[in-house]
Amino acid sequence: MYSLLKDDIYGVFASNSWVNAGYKAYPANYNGTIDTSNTFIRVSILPGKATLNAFRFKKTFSGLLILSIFVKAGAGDKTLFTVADALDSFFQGKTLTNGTQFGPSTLSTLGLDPADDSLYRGDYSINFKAYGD
Amino acid sequence: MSLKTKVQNAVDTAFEKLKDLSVEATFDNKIVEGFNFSTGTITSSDQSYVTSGFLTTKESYANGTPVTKTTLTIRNNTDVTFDRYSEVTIGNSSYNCNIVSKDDFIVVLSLSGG
Repeated sequence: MYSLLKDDIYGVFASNSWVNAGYKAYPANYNGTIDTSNTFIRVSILPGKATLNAFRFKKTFSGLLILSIFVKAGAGDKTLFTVADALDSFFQGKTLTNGTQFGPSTLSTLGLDPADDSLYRGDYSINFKAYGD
Repeated sequence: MSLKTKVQNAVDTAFEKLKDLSVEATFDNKIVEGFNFSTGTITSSDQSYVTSGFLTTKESYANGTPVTKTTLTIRNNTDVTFDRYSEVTIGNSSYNCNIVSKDDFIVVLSLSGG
């Protein structure tokens, strides 16, 4: 069932509407080339507490999707908020194909990235509920 | 002639004089260029770099157990990002490699798992 959750979220980033938005996304545990000259997003899926529905033995779990947004440092925070708004249009309040439901989002501005001070980072986080086997 | 050029020439000369003792090392790596969310896989291309270098073996003891450390010393090539390579083949053996030290002239890598 974790794969269903992954498929739901990856599906958003594979969709034409996301590609047309023009923001590159990379998953957690990705160590390859990243084009840091443009805004990009790191996708971290954090499954959380699970419960078992005794009536139908269906597993339900909540979790958090954190999308770390990296924009060019020194250019203000307009892009950060623009990207966050774009992400809202894909996730906030949506139910995806495999039933993953998203709640309201939160945006935290974190300042310069310690690993690369040419980048400014904000974390877009949004709670989800997923249903499975 | 700058000091850097002098050192570089000396390194080149040393590698040339010890050529008969050198081994051919082939570095293999996948260059990861992106991630395909449709398939959930990385997009990559294979890249290899062949050079010659010298093997050094040091033996020591850790808690009474003999430990052999093998290092490979090669000439630095500014066109090559050695950090990206995690595997090197010498002869018929493949080793995992990690950079121990690197300067403008040479790169020293520790080898394991041959």
